[in-house]
Amino acid sequence: MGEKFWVKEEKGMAESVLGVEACEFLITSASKNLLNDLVSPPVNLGVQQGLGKIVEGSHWNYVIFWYASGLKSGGSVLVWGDGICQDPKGGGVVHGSTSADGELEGVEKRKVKKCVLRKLHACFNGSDDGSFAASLDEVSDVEMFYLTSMYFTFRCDSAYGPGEAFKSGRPTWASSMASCLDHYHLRSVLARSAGFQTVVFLPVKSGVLELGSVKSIPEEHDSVEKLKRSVWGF
Amino acid sequence: MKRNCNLELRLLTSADSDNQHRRHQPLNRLMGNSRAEAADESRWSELKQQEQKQLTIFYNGRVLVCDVAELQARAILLLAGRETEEKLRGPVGSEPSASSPISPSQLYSPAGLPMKRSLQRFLKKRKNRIQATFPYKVNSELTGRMRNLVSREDQ
Repeated sequence: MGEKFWVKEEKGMAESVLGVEACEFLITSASKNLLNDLVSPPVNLGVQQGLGKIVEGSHWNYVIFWYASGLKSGGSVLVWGDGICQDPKGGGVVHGSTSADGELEGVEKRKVKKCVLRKLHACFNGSDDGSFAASLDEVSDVEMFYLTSMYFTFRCDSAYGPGEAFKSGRPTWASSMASCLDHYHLRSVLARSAGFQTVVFLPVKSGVLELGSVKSIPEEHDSVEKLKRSVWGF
Repeated sequence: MKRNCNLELRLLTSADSDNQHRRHQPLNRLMGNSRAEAADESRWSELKQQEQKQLTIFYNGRVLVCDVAELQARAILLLAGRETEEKLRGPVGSEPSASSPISPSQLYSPAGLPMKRSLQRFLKKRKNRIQATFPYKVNSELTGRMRNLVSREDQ
């Protein structure tokens, strides 16, 4: 009943994890039904193997493929296409996960993260699927960032993040925490909690590749080409 | 009938005797309502034997003209009234402030499948990792204590 409706407590919890702006954006987004407005919905993207090649044995904690589509109502948008998350601190294996500053996370924060994920899922999914949240005890901050990112979309005329890279056709490579947070924009609160020090937005065929790491990875002369080759073989 | 619904029923007396030349659409198709189909066929034709008057129905942008007995007309009004009530009440789960349309679940629209797939893959990977670390099924309290041991050793 009223999955899309957020009571004050739910909103407060979500704001503490996502930040006020991200929370507002997601609440609004859930009611807009953007995914049904796509001119060409993402199907059979076939990038999972390529994404795996990027992440395996690397320092990247996640890779996301944002898929670009026109909107029937005008303009174009980037939506979730596929992704991989690789966090040694995650997976619920280590009891009492630590946050980016090394502090042991309280039970409260873990509960809050789980509640927020559950609410987002219900909000976008239209039903409260209890089984989904059941396995999400002890989600790390990197994982929280990754899972929450699924619900984000980016207009292609944006001045930030994936939208900006798509619009300009030029990659963004930020390898310091301060400049990362700039590029993460609405997701910066989540990104700060996760402790990302490097973020990359790479415009590619039909979308944008996003990569992030808690380590500082400087760009080398052929970094971008190597990444593209991993996914598309050229 | 409330003003803001687009169902308008008027009972018009039959002045026109040429109505047999008009095409009569089946009422249930026009109403788009399977409840009309559930009406007893034989009872319906029985009622038709009684004195008939012309009934003009304006529904959802369409017009139907037919001859009905008074009882049939009342039945139609009753069904229409019920349908309108339900529409106004709204489907379960709608927002109290009803400012945005009730949209089908985005996750299960074709465009939501990538999200769903990524999520399932994530959860599966997680489950595999946990099982690999703790392959034996033990009660959750014991698992918790074992995890503590593991993390303490790491420090």
